[in-house]
Amino acid sequence: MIYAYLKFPNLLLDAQSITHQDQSIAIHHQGKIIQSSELAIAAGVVPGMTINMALTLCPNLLTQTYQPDAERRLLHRLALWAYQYSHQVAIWNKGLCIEVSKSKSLFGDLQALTQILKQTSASQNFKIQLAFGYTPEMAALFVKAGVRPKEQAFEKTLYRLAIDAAEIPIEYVKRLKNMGFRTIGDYFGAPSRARQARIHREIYLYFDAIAGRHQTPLTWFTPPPVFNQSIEFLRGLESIEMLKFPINRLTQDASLWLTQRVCATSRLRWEIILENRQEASLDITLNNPVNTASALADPTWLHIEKLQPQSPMTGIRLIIQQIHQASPQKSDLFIKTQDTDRAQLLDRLTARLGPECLKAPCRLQDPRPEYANQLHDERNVYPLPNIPPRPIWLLNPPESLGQSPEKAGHTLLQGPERIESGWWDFKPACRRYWVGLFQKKRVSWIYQDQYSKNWWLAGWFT
Amino acid sequence: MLIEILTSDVFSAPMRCAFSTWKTQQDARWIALVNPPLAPCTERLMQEGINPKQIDVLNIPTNQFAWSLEQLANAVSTRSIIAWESETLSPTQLRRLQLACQRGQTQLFLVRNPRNQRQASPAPVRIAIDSLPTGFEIRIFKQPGTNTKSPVVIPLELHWLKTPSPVQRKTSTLKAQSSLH
Repeated sequence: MIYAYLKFPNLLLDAQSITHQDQSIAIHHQGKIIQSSELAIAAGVVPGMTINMALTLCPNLLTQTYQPDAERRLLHRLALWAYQYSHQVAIWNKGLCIEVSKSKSLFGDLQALTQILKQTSASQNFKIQLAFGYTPEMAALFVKAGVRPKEQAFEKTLYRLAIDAAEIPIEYVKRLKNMGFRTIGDYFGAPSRARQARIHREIYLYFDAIAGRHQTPLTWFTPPPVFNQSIEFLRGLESIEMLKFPINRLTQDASLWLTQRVCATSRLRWEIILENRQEASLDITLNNPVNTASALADPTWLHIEKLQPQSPMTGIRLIIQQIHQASPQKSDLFIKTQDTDRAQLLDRLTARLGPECLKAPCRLQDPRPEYANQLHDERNVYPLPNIPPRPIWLLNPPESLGQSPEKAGHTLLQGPERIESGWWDFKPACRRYWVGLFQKKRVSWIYQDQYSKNWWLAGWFT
Repeated sequence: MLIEILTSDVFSAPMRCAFSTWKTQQDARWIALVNPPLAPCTERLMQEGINPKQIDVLNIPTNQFAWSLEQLANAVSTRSIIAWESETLSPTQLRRLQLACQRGQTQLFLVRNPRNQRQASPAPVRIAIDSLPTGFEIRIFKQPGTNTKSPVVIPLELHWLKTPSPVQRKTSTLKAQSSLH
């Protein structure tokens, strides 16, 4: 077994959803600084310092209290990201432990896997430190010592490390040093029974674990059955434009979650948390189930940009509850035309223009032309019987021509086509349709209602 | 490719032009009618040999016209679009539409008012259509790779007007049968 241990040096800062790269920020807990941004470190603010001391050194320091829930949520998000590289991911020791012996074969070697993890984490805007080992403790020790040995050199490198590198209380380090152990190699050079008799059991087991002689039980992470992820903002956002980045981040995570489950979704629920403790929710229904980030983000953005929040926004949440099994895209070697972006196009159009803007021409089984030819949301096209030529355009409702078509400028050319129907829905039609010539220019389609004897313009041929 | 159709006859001529290309170049992609002046007759589309299942009819608000056309033209799944201009598009917007057509390999017929003929346009093909009593006259005054050609007159396809309708045919057959007895 080979484990990778991933440590996130800016975990607490990242958990606060703060852009900490260009400002001095520090996270404090019980009056002491526990993490600070690069600019704050440059100003002398280091972990372990009191807040008063930090503010004296850096007066413009922005301080935030430690939020364990935000840290836990971020670790779950990171575990979801790591799940794509191994099915055995555990949240352990405020970092991630990944079992990579199978992934190593998949990605080539540990170096290649390191490159992939570093590249993808950089694209997700979080910094990682990682190392490999036979146990999570060994990998964590290598991360702490800042070394990343190759698989063949795990033991050799471990034995060379100073005893101070061990993650044990300082009094035990002193005690081991007093016993004459300067390196971890010195420790394992002593007889096992003598060590066991002189050292506390927990410390003994820890050293056995870093040497790969003792296995710590891990609780493996499983992706949640429902996607429910949120991002909180340090300051209330006043412009909808500023939501673009959080939306992209959430849709990327949702896409990853769906891809890992080989699923797709057509229903998204967005909740925007406002400063006045109210929530604006937005339910989006897509035309087809999708699982790519762009297909989720595009219609979302078109819907959200119409919103006009009453107060600044302090957070945004994405919830996906309804998922469908994703079927692989059908492809044909010989058909070059692609229908892949059709669903996305419809989603974009309906998101921006509303669902009522898009209609499909239908042909229903009704002899009355105004019922047979309709624009509907659903595509129903029944076969066409042998009927005389129909006009290009239909007038709905028809235009009245009075008692005489000639007086309205229509000369009868051909007809009549008699349509008598509609007795079943109490809208009976008894008509005689004619092709007419309007003012010697345009060809019209007119009819005479046999009940009222009035003439009507039904459509235009030209 | 963006094809500008400059005509005052917004009903017949543009659709006749579009029908002829839709019939000859059929594939699995979709056709869109954007802001048509009236409701298209599905039965007529079927009579022309065009599958109505692959047609979208869009009624778009004026301020979203250019954006919607660009989205449609950009989509690989769209084959052809015929759009009746509801707001006067600027040369920049027309250029964007032309680029979108190139990306999506889409044909876009943009029906515009004839007064736009004097204005420069980035559309590679521009045609003016004038209605005649016997048909309509097409003048292609801009096309890639060749000079202006003489106008083409397209007659009205109303040959079926000379033949009796099926109802009349049936009536005449019945009359003929009754006269035998």
